[in-house]
Amino acid sequence: MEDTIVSQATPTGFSAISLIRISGDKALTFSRKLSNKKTNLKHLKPTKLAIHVNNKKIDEVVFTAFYAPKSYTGEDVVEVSCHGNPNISESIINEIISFGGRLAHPGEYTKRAFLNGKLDLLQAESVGLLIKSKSIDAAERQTKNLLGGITKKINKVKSRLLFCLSTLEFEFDVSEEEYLTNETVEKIKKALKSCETETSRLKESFIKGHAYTKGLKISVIGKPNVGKSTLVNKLININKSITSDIPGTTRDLIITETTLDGIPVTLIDTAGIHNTKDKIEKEGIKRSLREIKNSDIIISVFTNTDQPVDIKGFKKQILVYNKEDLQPYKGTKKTVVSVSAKKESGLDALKQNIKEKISFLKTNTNESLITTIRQKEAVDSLNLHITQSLNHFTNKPMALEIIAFEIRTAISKIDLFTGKTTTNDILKKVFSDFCVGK
Amino acid sequence: MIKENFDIVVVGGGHAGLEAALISSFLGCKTAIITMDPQAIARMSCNPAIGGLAKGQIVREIDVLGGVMGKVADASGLQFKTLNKKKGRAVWSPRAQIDKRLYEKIALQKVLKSPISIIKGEATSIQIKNYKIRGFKLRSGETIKCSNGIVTAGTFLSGIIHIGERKILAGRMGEERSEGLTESLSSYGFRTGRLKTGTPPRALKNSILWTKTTKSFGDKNPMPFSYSTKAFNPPNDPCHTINTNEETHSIIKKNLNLSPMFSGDIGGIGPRYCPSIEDKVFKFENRPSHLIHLEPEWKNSDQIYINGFSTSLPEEAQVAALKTIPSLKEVELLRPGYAIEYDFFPPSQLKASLETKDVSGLFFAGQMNGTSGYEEAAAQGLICGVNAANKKKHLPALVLSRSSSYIGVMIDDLITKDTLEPYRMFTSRAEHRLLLRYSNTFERLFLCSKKHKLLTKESLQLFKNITSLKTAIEKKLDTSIDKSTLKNKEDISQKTPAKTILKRPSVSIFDILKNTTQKETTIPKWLEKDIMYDVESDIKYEGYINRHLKEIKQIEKNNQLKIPKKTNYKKMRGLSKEAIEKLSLLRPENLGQAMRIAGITPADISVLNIYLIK
Repeated sequence: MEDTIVSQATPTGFSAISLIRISGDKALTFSRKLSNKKTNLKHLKPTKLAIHVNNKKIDEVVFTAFYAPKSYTGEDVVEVSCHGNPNISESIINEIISFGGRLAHPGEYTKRAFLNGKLDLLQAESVGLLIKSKSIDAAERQTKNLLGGITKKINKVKSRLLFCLSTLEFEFDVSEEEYLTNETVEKIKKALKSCETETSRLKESFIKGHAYTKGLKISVIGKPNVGKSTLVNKLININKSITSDIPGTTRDLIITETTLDGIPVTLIDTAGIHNTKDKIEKEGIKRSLREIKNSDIIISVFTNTDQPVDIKGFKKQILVYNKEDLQPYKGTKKTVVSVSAKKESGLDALKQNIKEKISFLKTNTNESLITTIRQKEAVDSLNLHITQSLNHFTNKPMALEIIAFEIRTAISKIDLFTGKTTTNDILKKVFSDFCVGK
Repeated sequence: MIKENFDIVVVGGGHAGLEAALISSFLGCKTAIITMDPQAIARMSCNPAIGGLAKGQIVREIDVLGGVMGKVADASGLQFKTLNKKKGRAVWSPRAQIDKRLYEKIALQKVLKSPISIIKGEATSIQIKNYKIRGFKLRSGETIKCSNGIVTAGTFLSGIIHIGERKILAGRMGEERSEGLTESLSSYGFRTGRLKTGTPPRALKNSILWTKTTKSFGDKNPMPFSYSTKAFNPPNDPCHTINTNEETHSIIKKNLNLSPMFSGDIGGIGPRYCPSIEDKVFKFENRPSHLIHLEPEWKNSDQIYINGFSTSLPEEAQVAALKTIPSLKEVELLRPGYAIEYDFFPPSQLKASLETKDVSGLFFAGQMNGTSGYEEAAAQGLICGVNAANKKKHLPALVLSRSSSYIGVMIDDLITKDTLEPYRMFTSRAEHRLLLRYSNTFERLFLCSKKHKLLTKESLQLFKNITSLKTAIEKKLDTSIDKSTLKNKEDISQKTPAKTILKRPSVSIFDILKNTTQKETTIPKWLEKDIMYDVESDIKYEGYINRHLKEIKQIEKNNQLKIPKKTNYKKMRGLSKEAIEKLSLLRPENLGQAMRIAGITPADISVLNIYLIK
């Protein structure tokens, strides 16, 4: 038997209300004990009850019971809404534990929901991401995923592949004609090609999807004392990095998370890059260089007196000339953005520039994106097998059974996303779509 | 009156019963066949053909496993044709038109030559004590005692024939049905259901205008089923094809309400892959014409099988519809087409050995397991026969994996899937199809046959010879060749191993090796060619074969995880309701089987997996 688990569903700290969730066989029994109620709570009927701990009334709360299997986890679930005081929620949780419950592990509710067949794998993943997603835009996208946005797209590909496969299987298993007609071959090829295009598109959407969930990394680099930290602070309007006139004030990476145009962004303020004998600074520079490699965008800051740090081969780079208040930019490079972080001039132009650089991520909200590595791998190999099946059409003699094998493999990759396809599904299609001979 | 105790009693003498009895007798068991009509042993009740798509492969598997179907078909074939020849080497499927009378005759000879006792009678009940079979009771009141029983009742259990609104209680046209056995088995807790199948009308040969038909012959270089067939010169008698037309269809449509399937008279579910002509006209309304094959039932037979016109319409409607086809303008029927309903026992009640899960020593094979087709039945009969004999001798059961054979696929499907219609083999049912080729049957099953001692000395030697010939050919292909060796103008810049060249789609093994220069004469020419082709297939498909092998390794792991017989699924937290129901009903023997049960989700399997490891 599974343990009955408990945890606070809302963030810790003071708030208007807190929600505590109990899930498992004993959820109802525990709630009865907690409230001194003689009978079980009714399904989906919020009930206001007082809670006593050590004979002392600590709060009046609302209990809502969800009977198995009609609950999120598929088990009996009780949600307790108490007032948002950490002491109250803590004592409630401790009471439940003293009754024999246990604190839930991270993601355990979702895991149980998955194991009880309440969610498919894709949905379970999306729930995990929803909780963790870094901006509202990303949350919306995840909601869409939850509703099956990707599943729908993938299912469309699957139904086309099933058409191709059932056409071939009809040839192998029913038709006694010697050859496949050219017309049939062309039909299969056309369907496969559209699947190839669709999966290629999905494949590419990972770059976006990944950025939405994990956030884009933007590193601000430059020689010491060109004003990197000041610039970062102004960009996010808080004082996080300590700034001073002394070069090398920022000795380690300072990481700030923010959103730009709804896209989660991680701004990394790096240590100034120069030759130094200071051990700590040296380590900081080493880390800066490593971080630069992993960045999506680099903001390279320079001034009248310090040249930009040359990072070779990095494409998404914004050159920022700082301290224009001391000396205006006189260079000829049109791509250079001239600002004064201190006087807050030119910052809007810089923000605009960054937005342009990340605009490739702006999608219409109807687009479904794949967001996890697992999804990416499945789509990659799906796409690969579709391409391979297409390649076989050029071979002479055409090995139809190999084409069928590749399509079957492709379908099995889709099944990783959405669930099993049985031979019966394939045969069902054969018998409903084709006139069976003898 | 027979009072002896038999090791094995086979109820029914059809294709399943024949193989079951012959192999168990070969394995040294004292065997008897109970049949209502000893003259009807191995009767082909429906189409005059053996093999065909996916079935040809089964026939050859039966051959390597010591069965007789292939040998009898080779000796009684009227024409042979390999289907799917242009669609890929793994789906090649040989089929033979058969002289039914000759087939029955040769089969009966085999039984008569063996020590098998033939008991004429009707088994009406089964005797079971302590979950173990004791014997069968006959209608005559006699009891036949046995330690193992194989029931192969075909369509005879409570059979009802339908022709239009006419109903006849029979097991086959003109043969009595069998009563009582279903009830007897049900009383011990076996679940039963109803299925239906059909057969087309038979026409009088002289009433057909043959000039208005199209001839179709078999292959010029025919391929036999059995590895042991040496001299092979089948007659290549023609079949004929004709087409239905819109007038035919309109008569059928007019009479649809008289077809018992459409009027609701038949409760059983019929096979989708062998639809009646009513079905075809109804479902594919826009098709102006359907193909019909006219096939002789035996050499120079006056009886013609109208293949593709299976029907249960009233006889007058059948005749009227057929007469709209020019060549059948004056057709006379010797026998109308009909549908037959019969009892079957959902095969999920069986283990992979085909022994029932609940009664020790009781095996089921053939149509009563919900399958259709001579080949499917024969294969099950053979497995039952071997396993009944092994049980008698306390040897482990013969269980074929899905990756070893179509027979393995079939049995696994039967025991893990709910059969809603008669089960027929299709190549698409085999997930490792590229491995299950006609040409490598010997390689797939020979060792298993050897282990279970299913082969005669001569066959054993033959298979050893075939294996060493294959190795010899493979070795030859290790040598490097250049342009001059090849017949066609392939571009080879430098000496390259022949194997590598052979991977090119346009190169065939026959371009490289003119012949095998085999000194031994024990292997006939056709077989030598077949083996060369098989070597070529292995090389050309190497990458795909390796992919299959990788998958199989994973699957084997799951098959090895045994599920205890008395597992209580209700106590497993996390299983869905459907999973609890299905697993409790089907009681899979291992995790692999559980995975293949319809409706069991990956989440269920991960729960089950955790419990099994714990």
